[in-house]
Amino acid sequence: MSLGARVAIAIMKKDLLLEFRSKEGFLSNLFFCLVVLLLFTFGFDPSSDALRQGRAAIFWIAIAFASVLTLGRTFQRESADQAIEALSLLPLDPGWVFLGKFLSNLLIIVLLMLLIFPLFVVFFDLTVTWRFWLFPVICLLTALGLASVGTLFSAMAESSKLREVALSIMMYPIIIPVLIVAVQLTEQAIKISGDIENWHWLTLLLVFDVIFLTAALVIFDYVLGD
Amino acid sequence: MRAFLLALLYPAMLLALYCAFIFAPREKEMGEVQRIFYFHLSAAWLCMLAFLILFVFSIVYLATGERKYDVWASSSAEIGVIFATLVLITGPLWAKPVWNTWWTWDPRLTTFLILWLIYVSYLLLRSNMAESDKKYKISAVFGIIGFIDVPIVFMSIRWWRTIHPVVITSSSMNLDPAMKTALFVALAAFTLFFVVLLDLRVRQQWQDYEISLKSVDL
Amino acid sequence: MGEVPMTSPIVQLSGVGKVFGTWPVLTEVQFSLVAGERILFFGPNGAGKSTLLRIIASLSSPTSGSVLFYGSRDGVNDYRRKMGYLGHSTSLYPDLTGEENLAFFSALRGISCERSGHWLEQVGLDRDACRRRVRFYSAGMKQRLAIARLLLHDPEILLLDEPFNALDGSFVQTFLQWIREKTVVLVTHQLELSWPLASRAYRVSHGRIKETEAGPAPPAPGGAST
Repeated sequence: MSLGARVAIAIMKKDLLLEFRSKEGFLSNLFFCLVVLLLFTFGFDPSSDALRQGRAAIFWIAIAFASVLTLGRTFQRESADQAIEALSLLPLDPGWVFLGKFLSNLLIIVLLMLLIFPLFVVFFDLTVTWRFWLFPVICLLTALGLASVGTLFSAMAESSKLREVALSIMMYPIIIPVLIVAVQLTEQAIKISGDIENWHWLTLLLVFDVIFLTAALVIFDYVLGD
Repeated sequence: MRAFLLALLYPAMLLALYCAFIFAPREKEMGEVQRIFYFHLSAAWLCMLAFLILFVFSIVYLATGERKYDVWASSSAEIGVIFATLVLITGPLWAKPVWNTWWTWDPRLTTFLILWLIYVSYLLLRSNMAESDKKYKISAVFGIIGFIDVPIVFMSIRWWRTIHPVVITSSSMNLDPAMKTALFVALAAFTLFFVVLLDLRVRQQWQDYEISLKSVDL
Repeated sequence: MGEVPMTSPIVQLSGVGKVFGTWPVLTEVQFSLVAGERILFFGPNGAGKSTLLRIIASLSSPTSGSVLFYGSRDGVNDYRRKMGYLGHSTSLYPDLTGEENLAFFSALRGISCERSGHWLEQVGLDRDACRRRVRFYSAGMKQRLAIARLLLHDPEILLLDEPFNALDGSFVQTFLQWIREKTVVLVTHQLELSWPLASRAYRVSHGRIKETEAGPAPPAPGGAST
C-alpha cells in the first residue's frame, strides 16, 4: 500500500475515534437530528395530509442540519492545537489528507442516516415494503455529495471568523440539488404501491458526487496552508 | 478610452430609456408593466456575465496567485450580486400584474434565487476573512465551486418541477421588431454600464490595496 | 548552478517577503541553509522570526521572492521527508492519549509502533502518562510528547520555534544532545542555552535579518550588537 493510502486510512481512523469518543461528537449529533426531525412535525396538523406529504423533506432537512455539525468539526479538531501543521508537512499530495477526512465524514453521515431512519419509520408511520432497499443506496449517494462538498468547505470555514455559520452559508445553497434528489428518491422508496420510478434522479445524484468529489480533491491543495 | 466609454455611456443609457418607454410599443395584454422586461433581461444577462468572469478569474488566480486577478474576480462578484438583486426585484414586479403572483417555483426563477444565495455567500465569506493570500484562495475556490453548481441546480429543479403540474408557463414571447430593437439597445447599454462599473471597482480596489501597502511603509 | 552537491543548500530563500494583509512581516530576506549548519534566529517579539521559520519549513508561502528546496521547487517533498518542524503549538490532539497521538503520527510517516514506544520512553513519559489524554498533560509533558513526535521519523533537519519552553533543565540538556549532530534552525529567546550550539546567528528585527558574529558569548539582550 502506498504511503498516501496509509495516511488516508490513519486519518480516517483517528477522526472516527475522536468523533465517537468526544462528548460533543456523534451521540449529540444523533440526538440533535432526532430533535429537529420531531420539531418539524409540530409545524403540521398531524391529522391532515400535509405531514404525510412533507415527511421525506423533513427527514432530509434534519439530516442536513446534523451533518453540518459533524462536518464543522472536521477541521476544528485539527486547528485546536495546530495539528494541521503536521498534516500539511507530510511529503505527499494533500489530496490524501482530504481523502482520509472525507472517508470518516462519509461513514459518520451514512451511520447517522441509517440510525435515524428507523425512528423516521416509526414516527411517520411508514409501511415497510420491498422498496426500502433503495434507501441505503440513496443514503450512500447523498452522503457522498454532502461529505465531498462539506469536507472541502470545512477546511475553508476555518479561516473565517464565522466558523460554523460560514460552513452553513456556503454549504446549504450548494447542496440544494442533493437534497431535492434525496427527497424525490425517498418518496419512491417509502411509497406503498407501484414500481420505483424516476431513475434519472439517481443519475443526477451520481453526477453531482463525481463532479464535486473530483473538484474537491483537485482544489483541496489550495485551501491548506497559507 | 475610459473617458470615451463614459462619454458613450450617458447617451447609451438615455437611448435605452427612450427605447424602452417611448419607442417600443405598448404590449397589448400586459400593458405598460411589460416595459420592465427590457431592464430585467439586461440585468439577468449581466449577472451571467459577471459570474462567468468571477469563475474565470478565480481559476486564473489559483493558477497564478497574482493579487490583481482576485481583485477582478471579487469586483465582478459584487456587481453581479447587485444586478442579481435587481433581477429578483424587477421579476416579481412584473409577475404580479401579469401572472397574478409575486413568485412561482419555476426552474428559472428558483435557480436564479439559489444563484443569488450562492454569490451573496461568496461576498459574506470574503467579508469575514482577514486579508491574506488564503482569503483570496478560499474565495476563488468558492467562486469555482459555486459556478459549477449552477447547471446542476437548474437540472434538479427542472426535474423537480416537471413532476408537479406546471401552473404557469413563461411562454416565449414573439417580440415585435420595435421591442427587439429596444431590447438590444438595453442589453448594449447595460453591458457598457457593466464594463464601466467593473473598471471603476477594479481600480478602486487596487488603489485601496496600494495605499494600504504604502501607509505601512510610512 | 555549478556547485558540488555537498555544499548546495537544502533551503534557499531569495528576496523573500511576506505580507499579512497589509502588514509586511518580512522584507527582502536572503538566506540559505546548508547541511550540518546550526542556525540561530533571535530578536524582539513580532520581528518576524516565526513567520520566517514557517516559510523555511514550507508551511507558508512567501508573498514575493522564491524558496527553493535542494535547488528546485519540486524538491519540497524530498525535503519534507527529512525535515521535522516544531512550531508554537505542539500539533497534538488533546482528546487522544499520548500513546495514540504518537501511534497516529507514526502511521502518517509509515513507521512501526515500536519506534513510537521507544520515543515515549526516551522523552520520559511513563506508561501511566502515555495512557492519559493529552488534554490532562502539563505544559512540560505536552512539550516532551511534541518532541517525541518531532524526532519520530528521525529527521536530519530540524526547525524549532522556542522548543525549550516549559521544559526542565535536565531535559533541555538531553534534547540539545540529541540535536547536536543534526542540521538545525532554531528560533529562541534563550540565547545562553543555544548559543554554544550555533554555527551562525542572525538577529531578526522589523522583518529583516542580519548575521551576527558567533562569538563565545551571546550578545546582550536588547543591545544593538552587530
